[in-house]
Amino acid sequence: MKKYIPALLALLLVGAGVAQAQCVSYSLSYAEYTTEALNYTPGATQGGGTITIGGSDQYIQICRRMLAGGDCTLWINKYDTGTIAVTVNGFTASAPFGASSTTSTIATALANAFNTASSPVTAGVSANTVSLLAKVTGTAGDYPVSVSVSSSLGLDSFSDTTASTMAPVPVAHIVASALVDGSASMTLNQATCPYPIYENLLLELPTATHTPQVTSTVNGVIGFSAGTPVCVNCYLSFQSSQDSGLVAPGEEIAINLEGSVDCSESGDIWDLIDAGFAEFAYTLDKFIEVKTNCTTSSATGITYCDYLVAPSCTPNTSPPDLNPTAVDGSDIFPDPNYYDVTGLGFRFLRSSPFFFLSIDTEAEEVYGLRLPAFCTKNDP
Amino acid sequence: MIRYAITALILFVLALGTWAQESPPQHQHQHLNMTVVDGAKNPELIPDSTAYRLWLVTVSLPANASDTDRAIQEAHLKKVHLPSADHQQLLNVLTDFKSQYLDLIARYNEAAKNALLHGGQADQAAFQIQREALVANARAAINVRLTQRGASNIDAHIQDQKKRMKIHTTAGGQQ
Repeated sequence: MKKYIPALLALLLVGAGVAQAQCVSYSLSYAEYTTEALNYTPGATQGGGTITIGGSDQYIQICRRMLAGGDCTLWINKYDTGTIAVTVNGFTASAPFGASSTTSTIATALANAFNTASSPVTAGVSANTVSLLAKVTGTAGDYPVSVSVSSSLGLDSFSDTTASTMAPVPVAHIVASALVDGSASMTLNQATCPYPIYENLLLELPTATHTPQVTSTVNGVIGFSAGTPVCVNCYLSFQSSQDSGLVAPGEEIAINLEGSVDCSESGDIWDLIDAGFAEFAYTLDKFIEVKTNCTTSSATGITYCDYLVAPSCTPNTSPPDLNPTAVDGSDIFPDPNYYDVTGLGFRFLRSSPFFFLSIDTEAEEVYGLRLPAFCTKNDP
Repeated sequence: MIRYAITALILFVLALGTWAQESPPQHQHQHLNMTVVDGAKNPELIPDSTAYRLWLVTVSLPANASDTDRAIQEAHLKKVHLPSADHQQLLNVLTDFKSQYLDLIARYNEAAKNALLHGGQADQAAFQIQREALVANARAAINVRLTQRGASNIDAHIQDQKKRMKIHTTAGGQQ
């Protein structure tokens, strides 16, 4: 008899479930669109600089077992420990290092140490590079930066670490937006729904609601917003945006956007997460004095062309992340010698290159001589 | 002893069933078979009309928009790098689109609420036809009112933005 118990139990439970499922037909269709935009005013600058962690943890070998003749049969490695300290305008951030330290872990620790209330700068990190941005505006934030490395064994661990004095750098905001658009559809099946479930559902459904929501984390800042609750069969369209705060060129920020729909009766019925990394990219390009695809506006008489360009960066930032072959130009301005080109790069994974749409870039004319410039380079 | 245990178990299950029947019948969302179109992997599967709709909704503003909203809109529109003559034209198209889109949704939702009171449904198919017509009208207005360069910049941008769009649909759901 015992063997019939599970079968009996299953039959009863399945029977109850079928009765519920016969009452409601349910479907949904939602779309999510996430996108970022660069809020950049040409000429807007702030004191910025970089710290590059270089080198590795060193070690010495110590003999553990010495033979009578002086030869060693067992050597062990004793790894160096110490601290890298970076001082900006009297504020010192430090990161310890040891056998397991890498240039990336130290860069992250230094950035965290700078991101405190009393620090004069905010810091971002990308691989082994820490980007610093002054909290004060204008040239007052062009602080000197010094680096010191202390070693317990007196070795050259991470001795290739360097920092640049802070100087005006272009700054921008990255705005991340998410849209949830669509609807659910719920139909009561009177013919197959037993009494009194159908009657009760008929009373319940008109008061139930669906609420669109967007949860965002942009550059470490968490945001949440919810739209107006609508009926369960209503159409909803809700968007929300989150600002990154000031970002310097080359500073990579993490973006996580989650759209969802919350049901007043059942909780979360749909959600979708979109995550990736965005960069305020900067490139100095030289105009190579060739124009193509020219069109003249009949309304204004202005001629627009693709102005062909080539990168003019320092060797260690070539090729830059943002590397257009042409920029939009017009005969409103005389032909420039160079273009300061800015753009917004996005990638889903850090192991992938950024993607840019050429028309996402903004080019500012530069006249006269221009030395090769720092260009952003985070691509693998 | 076993007989008592079986009887007790059956009584317990029956009691559970009765309790479930008498409890307020909160509507349940079954696990649904979802069709997912991820534009990051298959941008070609995002229809142009859907991509235009999502972009138009995102970059357009209602009449009572705040200054912050307008700054965000400008940041998004700057990405399209329009010739200056096109900028105001596009703003006009977007304002018209937003007001008509919100109006269409409001009318549909009113009908959906009324239908729910009688266990029925609003006419979803008709809503979708009107929604598609709104998007088609906005696209036509962009092509007519903006320069060719401006219109093609917008189209190139929206095609690229399909990478950032996702559509989730179950059987019976219509995007």
